[in-house]
Parts: sequence; C-alpha cells; structure tokens
Amino acid sequence: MAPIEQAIYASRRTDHATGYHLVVASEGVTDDDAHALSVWGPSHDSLVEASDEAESINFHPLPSGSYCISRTRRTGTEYSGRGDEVYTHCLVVPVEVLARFSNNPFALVRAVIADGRIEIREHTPRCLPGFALRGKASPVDRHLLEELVSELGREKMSSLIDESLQYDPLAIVTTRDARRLMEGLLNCLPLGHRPSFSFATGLKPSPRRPFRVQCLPKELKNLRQVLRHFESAVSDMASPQKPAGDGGWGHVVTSAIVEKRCYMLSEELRRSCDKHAEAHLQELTARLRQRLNETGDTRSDDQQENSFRKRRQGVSRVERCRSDSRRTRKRLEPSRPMLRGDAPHIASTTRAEPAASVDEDIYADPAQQLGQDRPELIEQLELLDDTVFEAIAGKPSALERLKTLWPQTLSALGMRNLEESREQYLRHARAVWDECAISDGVRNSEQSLAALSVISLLLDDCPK
Amino acid sequence: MNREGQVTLDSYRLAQYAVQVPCYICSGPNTFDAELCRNCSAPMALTYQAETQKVHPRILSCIGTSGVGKTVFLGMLMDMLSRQPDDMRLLARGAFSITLQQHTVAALARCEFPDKTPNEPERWNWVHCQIHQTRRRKPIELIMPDMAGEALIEEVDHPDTFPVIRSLLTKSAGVMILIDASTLSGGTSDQDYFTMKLLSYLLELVDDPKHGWHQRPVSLVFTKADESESCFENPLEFAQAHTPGMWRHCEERFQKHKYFAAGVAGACANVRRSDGKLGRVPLRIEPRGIVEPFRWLIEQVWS
Repeated sequence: MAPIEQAIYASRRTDHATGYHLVVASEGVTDDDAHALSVWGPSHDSLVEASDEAESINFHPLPSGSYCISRTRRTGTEYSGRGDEVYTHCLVVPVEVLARFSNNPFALVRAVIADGRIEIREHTPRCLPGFALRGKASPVDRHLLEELVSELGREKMSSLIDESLQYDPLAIVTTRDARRLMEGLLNCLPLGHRPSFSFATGLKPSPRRPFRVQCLPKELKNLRQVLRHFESAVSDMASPQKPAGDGGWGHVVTSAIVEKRCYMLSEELRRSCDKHAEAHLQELTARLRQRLNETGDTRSDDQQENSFRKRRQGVSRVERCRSDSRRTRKRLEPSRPMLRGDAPHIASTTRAEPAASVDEDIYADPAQQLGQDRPELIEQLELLDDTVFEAIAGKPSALERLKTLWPQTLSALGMRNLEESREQYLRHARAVWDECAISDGVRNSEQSLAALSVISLLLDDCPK
Repeated sequence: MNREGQVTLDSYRLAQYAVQVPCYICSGPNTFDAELCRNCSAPMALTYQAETQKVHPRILSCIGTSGVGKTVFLGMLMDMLSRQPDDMRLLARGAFSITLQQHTVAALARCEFPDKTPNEPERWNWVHCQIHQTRRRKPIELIMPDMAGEALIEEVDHPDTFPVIRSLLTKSAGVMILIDASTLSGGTSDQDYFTMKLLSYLLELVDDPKHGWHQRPVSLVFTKADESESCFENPLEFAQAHTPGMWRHCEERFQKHKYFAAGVAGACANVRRSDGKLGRVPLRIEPRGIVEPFRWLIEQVWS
C-alpha cells in the first residue's frame, strides 16, 4: 500500500530558517514536492475568515504526480509574537490512494482526521513519518447533494456545476459553508475530472497559489479588488437565481438528485473513472440522461438502498452462520500453540486448515478473543489501563501498584495479547514526557519522571 | 419622420488592450488597466508614476531575515523623514506609499510591533517617494519595497521562486542589509550565515564588472542595537567580533560598504498572551541611528 507522506508549513524558528517555511517533512517527500509545498504554502493572514475556528481545505497537484491535500488553520500567536500563526498540515497523496477515495480529497481528509493523523503540533516534531491509510469512499454522497439542491435550488446548483467545468479559474462567492459547497460540487463531477480541480475553501487568492476553484465569502473586505486582480470568472451563489443551461452535465446531474436517483449517477461515475476528455463528458451526459428517461427502471435512491441493505443482511446472516460453525469447531479442537512470525512451521499432523480461519486468528481483536472464554481477564485489562494512566499522571501509589500488576498480567495473558495495550501506554507516556521536556515555561519534573518510570517498567519486561 | 443622432463607438476601448504596458520592476507585459503586475505582483502604479517623470526613480532595497525589523525600520524611517524640517525631507507619492508608515506608527503607538509581512508579494507594502535635499535642486525619486524575510531566503535558496525579488535586487542602486544584533549578542550565529547567503546572492545577480554589486553601496545595519550598547559604540568592531564571516565577505568583495547600528524601541518586554504564548512588545519608542544608513546610501548613490 503506497504511503501518504506529510509535511508542516508554519511560522517557526528551526535550525535552517525562521518564519514561514516547511518546518518538517517526512522522508518520502521529494525535493521538488517540498519546494512546491513552500510555494503554495499560505503565509501570514492568508485565511479569509477572521475567527479562531476558521480553516481551509486545499487541494493541488505536485511535480511528482502526487497530490497535496492540506488543512490550514490558526494556532494562536506565532513564534515572534506578531499576529496569529497560520498552520498548514500537508498530505502528499499518491494517485492510487486518492483514486481509492473516489478522487475526493474531503473524504480522504475525513479518514485521516478519524485516524488521528492531522493534528496541530505546538512543538515542531523532529521527524514526521509517512503512513498507510485504509478505507475507501463512494463517488457520490447523496444526502449532501440532496441538502445542497434543496438549499440552493436546482437552477443554481446546475449552473454552478456547468460553470466549474467551463471556467478556469473560478471564484465561488458564497454566504454558506464553503467546505460543504465545494464537496458537493466535487461529488457532481466525473471521477476523471476531479484531480484537475485544484481548490481552496478558505484562503485569500494569490498568484502564487493558482487554484482552479476558490471559495470566497460575500462579506470579504476587498472582494471586488481581489476578483478584478485575479481575472477569474465569478459564480455568485448569493445573487438572484440564474437560468440553468438545459441539457448539460449540470442539468442531468441535478435531475438525478431531484428525482432521487443518485445511484444512477454513482454507477455512471464509477464506470467513467479514468477518462477526462470533453467528448467523454458528453457521452456520459447522454448516457445518464437516457437512463433517467428510461421507463423501465423507476426505483428511487431509498428503494435502491433498501434492496441493497436486504442483500447485505442476507450476506451477513450467511457469514454469521459460517463463523458460528467455525467457532464451534474450534472449541472442539485441541488448543494450538501461539503462532510467531519468526517461528518454524509446526509439523502438520492433520489436514491444513482453511486460510480464512488462520486469518481470523491473526487479525481478531485480542480482548474479544480473551473475553469470550474468560470475562475476568477483561476486568484485569481495565484495571491495568487505570493503573498505568494514573501512574503516568504522577500518582505514586499507582506506580507502586503497577510494579506488581504489570508482571502479573503479563504472565497471565502473554506479551502477544498485551502488545497493543503496551504500545498505547508507551505512546501516551512518551507524549507526556515530550511535553514536559520541550515546555517553554515551568517544566514539571515530577510528571516527566513518572512517565519515564512507566516507560522503563514497560520496556524492562519486554522479551529480548 | 427622420432624425439624425450620434452613437458613440466603444470599440476603440479594445484597442487599448492591444498595447502592452511593461512593469517598472520586472519589465513584464501588462494590460493598461492592470493594478498589479501579472508576472511579479508589483503595483503597476509605480509604472504609471514613473512614466510621468523625466528622470526614472531609483530603487533602494531593504533586506534581511524574518523578524529582523525591516518593516519597523522602513516605517520609522519614513515617519522621521516626512516630519523633520531638516536638510532631508521625504514626500510620499501615491496613497499606497503611506500605508507602511501608517501601519508601523499605529502599531508602535499601541505598544505592539507591526504584524508580519506576508510572503505573497501582492500583499507587500511599497513606498514611492521623493527625497528633497537643501543642497540639491531637484528631488530624488525613490522606490523602496518592504519584502518578507522568508521570501528572500526562499529566493536565495531556490532562485526564481520569487521573480519580483530577483528583478528588484538586480535593479537596486543600493541596499540596506539588516542584521539582528540582539540574537548575535546572545551568541547565535544564524544571522551571520543568512547575511553571507544574501551577500553571495547579490554578487551572483549581476555579472557586469562595472555595474555589478561589488561596485554598488551596501549599508549593513545592526538592528535592535538598543539591546547591545557595544554595538552602538562601534558597529565595525561589533561586526568583526560577532559576524566574522560577513565582515570578511564585505571586506573582500564589496568596495562600498559601511556598518551602522539602529534601534527603534528604547526597551522591550516579554508578555504572556491569552493563548499562553510569549510575545515581545516595545515599552517605549526611542529611535536611534535610523536615518544615518539611509543618508549614507543616498550620498553614495547620487554622489
């Protein structure tokens, strides 16, 4: 799985520069990409909104062929005390990973945030690792599209889609949530067109950041001057309704949304994933229109979803039955020794087990496995959790208790079952220790010592 | 019934777009109604104002790393020169030329330093002004931009990232390089390295042995010198002691150079802001050594 690389562009004092620069990047970011990230990086006072919660999701191509998806936010006073720092976390996303998320940067950002990968770091980390991201996204979020069409009206939505395909660059002037609007617009575009739609949802326009689509709030102070200078076409969402072009892609897409047949749109978009040409768009428009006009298929999205759910329920029932029978069979079998990656193969005495059951053994949650047979072990794990976190927080009695509890639990459950918990404990202790060590003001030596004691205790009992 | 009427043909307006207007800074082509140059983002007002003059304005640049005090220095310099009825007076040309002075003085009056200058050149402050001197009959026309330190370092490390910086420094008649004396006194040598990078970049810009940078005047200004009194007493000795690399570079490669010390804030204090972070604020405004480097540069350029 190709990893996602990351970088941070912010105003910091580092060994190689001061002020706004690429303060840290993971090893896989190429020099050309790093330079491009510096050029596109938004500096001081670049967010259009003045509130503390203001943010911008940005998307643009990179010289290596990957794409940059970044989130820009304010983080409070910058290092020299001259105004608020504008902090941008950049993700360098390979083409195949973006494709897995239907070329939708918003879906990918949501997955990365849920994975806890994007966070504002007050202290610049020494290194930033690349990471693999699982998951995928469907081409169309029908609920979002239905909401947008009902808020904006069919005509406006239709003309927005057509204008976005027609003009480069385009400024969308709006009084609404720019992020939702932009995501809705992307949902309406063919998958092959999406990567070419570089955009920013909340940055001030600049010639250094030639985004194809920029969202600007209607109340922006020098809006007219900005629009005039950047010579972009304007789609004003706050203006009175415009007549929609009849028969274009926008019209057909909004028809599918209004008629609640987004599944057709989704299916057609899936079929068209790698193509970009204008002729292809016409072909796609004609095909979708034809499907919408067909009298044979009159199902709505809800009906389609219900039948899909029924199919899924059927499949799950079958899977559940299969897994139950497997579990029963396993209980009847004698217990097997623990599998280690580096251990030699166990001599086979019976016929080989099906691959599915081995996978289940490796990937199943250890707590779930343990809890099925011995629920008291779950309680022991919970007690261990509480004790470790109290000890890291600096409670002396908890540390003493942990010195006996940890070896006991380790011998009872084995390192294989505790490995994941131990990793989380170490990560938390390390974060606490780092925070104490890097702190600008008063350093809490007691807490850092407690964190260090827990780390050494957890590592001492690690099998060599 | 017939009537005669006159209809104005507006098609002549399109003809105006056929004539390109070259930017005064980068010479890139622009339309007649452009506000900023589409190539380097310099204000086109500079071009229109220069066209009305018989003598074209000269460019003086003020460069240095981020946080060295370029905005405060230039803003205070403008404020002092525009107020003092001395032998050197400054008159701003165009409303945009007053913004820098206005922002700096307003911030200092609130006991704050002005906000950071953004990296994006279209958001920089530019000054186009006339310098009147009693011993000169005609005023001197000057253009001075307030560049972002990060942009300068980015351009030095990756040439052609900021075309406006390259064009400006190629055309500049002289340069003021600002160096943070307070960090040098603290024993950090970053400023020495950054300044050497800037000096090397200048030398590589123009190949011409007669008009290259080794012949143009360079004033090296130690800013925030109020935090290091020895710097005010003898800037040259301070340079030899704290920036030996830069001093050696200047001695060997720049024929016209001089060291100065300057300070705007009489005293500074650290304050903890509402978000818990520390910030530096000026306690009083006590400008020292602001005009001298500029006066020396003017004398060297127009001698």
